[in-house]
Amino acid sequence: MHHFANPTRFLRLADRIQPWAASLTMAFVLSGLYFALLSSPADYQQGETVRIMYIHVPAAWMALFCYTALAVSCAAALIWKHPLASLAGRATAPIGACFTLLALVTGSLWGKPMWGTWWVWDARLTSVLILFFLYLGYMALNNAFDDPERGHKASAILALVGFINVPIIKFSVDWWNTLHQPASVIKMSGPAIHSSMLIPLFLMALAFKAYFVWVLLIRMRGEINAMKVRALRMRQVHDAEQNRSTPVASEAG
Amino acid sequence: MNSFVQIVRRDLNLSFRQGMDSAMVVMFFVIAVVLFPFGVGPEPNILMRIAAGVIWVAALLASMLSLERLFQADFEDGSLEILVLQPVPLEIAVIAKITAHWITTGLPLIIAAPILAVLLNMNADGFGMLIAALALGTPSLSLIGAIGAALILGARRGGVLLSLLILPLYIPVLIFGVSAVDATLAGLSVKPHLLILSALLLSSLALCPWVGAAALRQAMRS
Amino acid sequence: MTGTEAYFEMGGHGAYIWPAYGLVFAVLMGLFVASRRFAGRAGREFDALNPRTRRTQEETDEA
Repeated sequence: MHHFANPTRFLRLADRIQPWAASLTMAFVLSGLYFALLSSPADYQQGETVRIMYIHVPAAWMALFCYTALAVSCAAALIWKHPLASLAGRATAPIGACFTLLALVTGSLWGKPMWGTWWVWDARLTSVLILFFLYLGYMALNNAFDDPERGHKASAILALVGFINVPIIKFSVDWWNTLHQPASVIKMSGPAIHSSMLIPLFLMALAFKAYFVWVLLIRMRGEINAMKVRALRMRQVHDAEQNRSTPVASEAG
Repeated sequence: MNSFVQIVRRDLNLSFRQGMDSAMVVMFFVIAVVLFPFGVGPEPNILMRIAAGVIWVAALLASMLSLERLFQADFEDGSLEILVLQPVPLEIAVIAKITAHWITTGLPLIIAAPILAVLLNMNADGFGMLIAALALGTPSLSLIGAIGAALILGARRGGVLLSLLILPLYIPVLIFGVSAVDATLAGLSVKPHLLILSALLLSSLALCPWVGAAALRQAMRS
Repeated sequence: MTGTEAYFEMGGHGAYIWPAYGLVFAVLMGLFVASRRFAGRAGREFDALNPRTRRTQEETDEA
């Protein structure tokens, strides 16, 4: 694991993975859209609106997955103090926030025809809304300090505290009687929905996951370069100050 | 234990000497609640329905007011460094500071709440439960808030940031605090709500001092 | 009503289904473009500051 913790080595690995992630995203999106919009039947209960499920459920999975990834990289950043882990957290948060927002909005667009309302204050919806606020809080705190290191540490602690919310979201449909339907795919007794619906669901889930890897690598590259730029600037300022204190050196410079 | 009492006493002394801290919190609480009859109209039945929720939301916002200063003053004048370096575990110092915060903000809110409940036309049966729920809930608010107060040390626009971080984490306390009062007024069993409020208090008592101390150490190191 | 029209109607729920798909596309595309721009800007700043890596960096930018 520590082998790839070196930024240069990580970038080399990222270069190799990125084209794969990009082409996998494209392939899964196209095949997923084909099954989701053309080659799958309408649900006998929910009619055509079931097609929203193929993007809503994967987005919600990604919202939780990204937060878990965020919490893991924050824990790694706090325990091993490795800069790449902090940068991974910083790069994950905006992607997770986007997926959470999409899960909320597509859920709302699904709820209006099915439940007759855009929004209900039930446990699942409320806890996902809190998840969205946690992402926003993480990003705001991360950027709130002049010293980026301090921002990484403080927001990492916040992300770990907020992780309490993830199991609450997962089990909210089982613990409380809510309007939101309980999990029907991941169950001990096997999925409760037909395979013609599982195929587009899983293809879209894989598409979102590949997209996540793709964008994460792009953002990581940006974060690593931004970190290097900061370090170089600091050195320049430091050098300039030293030159000023010794007049001879400043003449030469 | 001795140093715990010392820190609590010191913080209380400071707060009383600077004066008005508690008074300001209570004034904010009263004014925020009084705004609601103007906002939703003075219809007694509507006010009766929303009384518990309004009082809880206002209490939540009021207890957040002084939170920003919980560690800020000590951070600026360097006494936080002394606390970190002392042989007493920093966690104890954090609990002490939270206790002092609760005495100066939570306690006055609990005392003021029944008067506001009267203004909002709440049924008198709910008063006892309102006080009990606030007594169980406000310490959790101070505990959770302490994490935020430690995290924002040295941040730009810390006050606004603090509310963004802490308010989402306050939501469980708010939900069960209000539902305890509503259950009493509806004649239902309050036991589950009170049990969950106690569970929230105990778990935040177990977790928050450690997280807060870790956040303080991070703030001092950088 | 022709076949394509009926398809886009989605049994009367087209007004909910298409915006949902459109929004997902728009948000994910927007995030992708923003990330690309952010990474590009950081890379260019780094090149400008550090002449030593300029050559290798330009090669990866081309790819």
